[in-house]
Amino acid sequence: MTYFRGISLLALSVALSVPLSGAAQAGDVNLYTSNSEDAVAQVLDALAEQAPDIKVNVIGGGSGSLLRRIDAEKSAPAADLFWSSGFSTLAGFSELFTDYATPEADSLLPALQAKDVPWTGTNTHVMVLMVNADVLDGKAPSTWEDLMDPAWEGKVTMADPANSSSAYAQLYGIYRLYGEEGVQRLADVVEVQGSTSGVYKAVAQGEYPVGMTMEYAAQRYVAGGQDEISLTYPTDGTFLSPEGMALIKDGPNPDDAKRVYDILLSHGLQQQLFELTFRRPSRGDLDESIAASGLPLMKDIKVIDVDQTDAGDAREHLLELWAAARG
Amino acid sequence: MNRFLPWGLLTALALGFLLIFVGYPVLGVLARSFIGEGGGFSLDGFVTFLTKGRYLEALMNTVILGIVVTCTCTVVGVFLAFVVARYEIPFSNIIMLLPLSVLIIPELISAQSWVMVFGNNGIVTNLFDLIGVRFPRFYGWFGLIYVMTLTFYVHVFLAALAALRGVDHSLEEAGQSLGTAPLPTYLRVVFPTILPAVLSSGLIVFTLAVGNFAISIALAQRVTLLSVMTYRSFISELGGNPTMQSTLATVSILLVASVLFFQRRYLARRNYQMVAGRTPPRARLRGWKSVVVSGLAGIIILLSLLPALVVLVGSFTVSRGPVLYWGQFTLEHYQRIWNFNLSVIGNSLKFASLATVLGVIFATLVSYLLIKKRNVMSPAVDYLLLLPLTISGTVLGIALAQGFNSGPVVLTGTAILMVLAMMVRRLPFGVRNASSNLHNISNSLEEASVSLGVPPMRTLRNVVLPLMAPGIAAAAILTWVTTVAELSASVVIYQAGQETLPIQIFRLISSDLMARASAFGVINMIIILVPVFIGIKVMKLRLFSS
Repeated sequence: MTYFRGISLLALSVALSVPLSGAAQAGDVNLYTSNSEDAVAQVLDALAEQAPDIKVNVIGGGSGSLLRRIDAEKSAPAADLFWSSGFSTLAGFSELFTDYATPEADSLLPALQAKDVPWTGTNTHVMVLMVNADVLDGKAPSTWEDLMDPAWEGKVTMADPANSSSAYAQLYGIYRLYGEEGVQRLADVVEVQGSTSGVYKAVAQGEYPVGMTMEYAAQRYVAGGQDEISLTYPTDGTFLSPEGMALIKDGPNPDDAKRVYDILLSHGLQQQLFELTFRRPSRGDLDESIAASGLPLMKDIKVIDVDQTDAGDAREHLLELWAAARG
Repeated sequence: MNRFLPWGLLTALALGFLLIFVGYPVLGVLARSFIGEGGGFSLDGFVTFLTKGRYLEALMNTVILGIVVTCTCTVVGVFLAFVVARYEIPFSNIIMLLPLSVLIIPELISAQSWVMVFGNNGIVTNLFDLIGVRFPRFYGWFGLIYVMTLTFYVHVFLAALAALRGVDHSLEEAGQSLGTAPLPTYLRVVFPTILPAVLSSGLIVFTLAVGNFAISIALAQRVTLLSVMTYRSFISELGGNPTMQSTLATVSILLVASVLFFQRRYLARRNYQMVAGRTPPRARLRGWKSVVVSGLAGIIILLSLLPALVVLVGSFTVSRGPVLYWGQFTLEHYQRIWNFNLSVIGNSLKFASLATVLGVIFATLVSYLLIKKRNVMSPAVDYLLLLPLTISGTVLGIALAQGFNSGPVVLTGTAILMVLAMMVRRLPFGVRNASSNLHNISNSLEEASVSLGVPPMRTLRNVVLPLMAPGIAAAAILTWVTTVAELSASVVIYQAGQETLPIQIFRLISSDLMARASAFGVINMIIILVPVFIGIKVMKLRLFSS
């Protein structure tokens, strides 16, 4: 009787474990991604061509919820590769990742190589002013400092830096440029949206003439043919918010995951992804495509160097300062 | 035979379920709002709420919004009910479809489609621009009140219609024969008698408006609201503060609970027993009165159904990124769903059908136990069943996610929690539907069966259940409808890979990809509509009788 029960338990556990281990067979790579499904489709197409023996299982979702899931699974990791999130967000989960020195790293922009951390830059956000000419009276602002003029009160919007990592990058950059006084002057003028997407939607809908947002988000409206929308790169210098991908520590299939990693950084795929999403690629050799899209080249944008670690460390202090300035 | 078995045991099981999945998480939220960062007792959360940021402003705005929307819904709902009950107007058949419109169009979609009509880039706004008139700003109070009124008035309409049909016409005739003019008769005789029904539905509208998440987040860009703040405190990209989440949730629970309390006290002193009387005949209006009355009613109906139309057209409209090209048509958005997102439809079907099956079984059993087999535990079950009514979906989601993320049962992140949230949210309504005709089933039928030697459980199955069937079917369909459209609880607890249709719609609308969101919206409406259609046409159910 016990013998029989043992057999049936064994059979049961085998039956139950099939779907679990099935996902991790040789040739399978489990990709956790926060990227839009059309970007993912682009990647799958490229992989089908360049690495037809790899089968990619895609789990999509917001980057926060995916990272928490990887964290929850860390005793028995199911994910091989995470693509992608901001460097500062990745820093909070760095113990989940493992180092991989990709051969493609040398082709990347220096700021995105991320050599001493276990991730690699895939693309970078550039902070811009999104301007809606339909509801703009007078001249558009050309610098961050212009925005601090009380005349802009109620006409400029940004996301809540406590909730949005891109808004925090903007606030930190302005803090570096103009100090506490700059933060105070910005706080007096700007209206705050609850989420990142609230900003570009509000400007596109003509709710505000100017919004502080990310290059790609504003460019979608320009490329879509909404003529009144334009992008301004502040001439007192703008800020980058790089995004990266990482190999998961003890993932089920590291060898194939590394091949996917390299392909994600390859010239061909980075070009396709840029043309689809307008997210500025981490590679330095795609100027032709960038010029063709109408966006300025990296060398023509004045960028203020921001150390992502310092930005992370200053977070609590700066957010308190911000809350006090907002009153 | 043991008196405790089987009914006492079943009641105990039901009570246990409610304690674990309703009582414990909600109490947990209340308790955590008094726990500070250090882990000890602290009032920091409430101090912050009262002194810092915009929390108090959000509370005030929420109360104002709730009151205003309740008033506007009452005006629109009672007016329409009065017209339908008393006058013959040309399209009264369509009016009976109205409750459906609200059920099948997810709130999120309706808010967004009104933005497409009245927003700064909207169809109507642009038309006004062409003739040189500036349309009022839609984002903020105007849009919130407008969309919420059109979404929620149906609750008042249904309640007022049922009450008006129950008013004994002889009361009115008595009033008029005593020399009172028709209008004062209505005001002094008819309206007081339908007041309890209107007030109850008004309370539902108030809770819906105060707890609303989808419409608020789409339109409240310039108005701080408690529901949106609660959601954001939980979903913050950078990890939130549990004390503040619980404090916000506690405040919204207290707000609704106190309104519920006052409404109960008020109604307790006003109770009308209507002896089933004659329903008044429906008058035929003539001339300008007919034009005005049916015109007004027609506009309300048209406006209620317009979002569905906008979504349908939007789902076939060419778009490049977020920009829509009206007038150019494509099947691309559906093709994408076919290629990439069948799993989302699968999730919706899977979670909603599980929640419906479990919810209906539970509701059927509990309504039977509460009405036919009462015991000492029954009042506790009654009260626990009221609890989901006082908490918004977002708060329920937070309560469940916080309550089961550690300890003996860890459910946070599992599909089970999604199903539980959907099921628990609808339990009070399910029980009400399932018990609707239980009161009319005589106990003697059961007693006869039992005295002939049939065991109690088999009696339940063979005698009572068939008689309860119409109520159960109605509960099943209404539970299905609301769980398929559920957003506010599931959006706080879902994990990657568990997206349902409303969550996907929410995410697409957040990225301003309206055309693609619309295609999901159409599929969502179809999934909701099919069982409703079958219920009404094939099973001849009266879904909106209560």
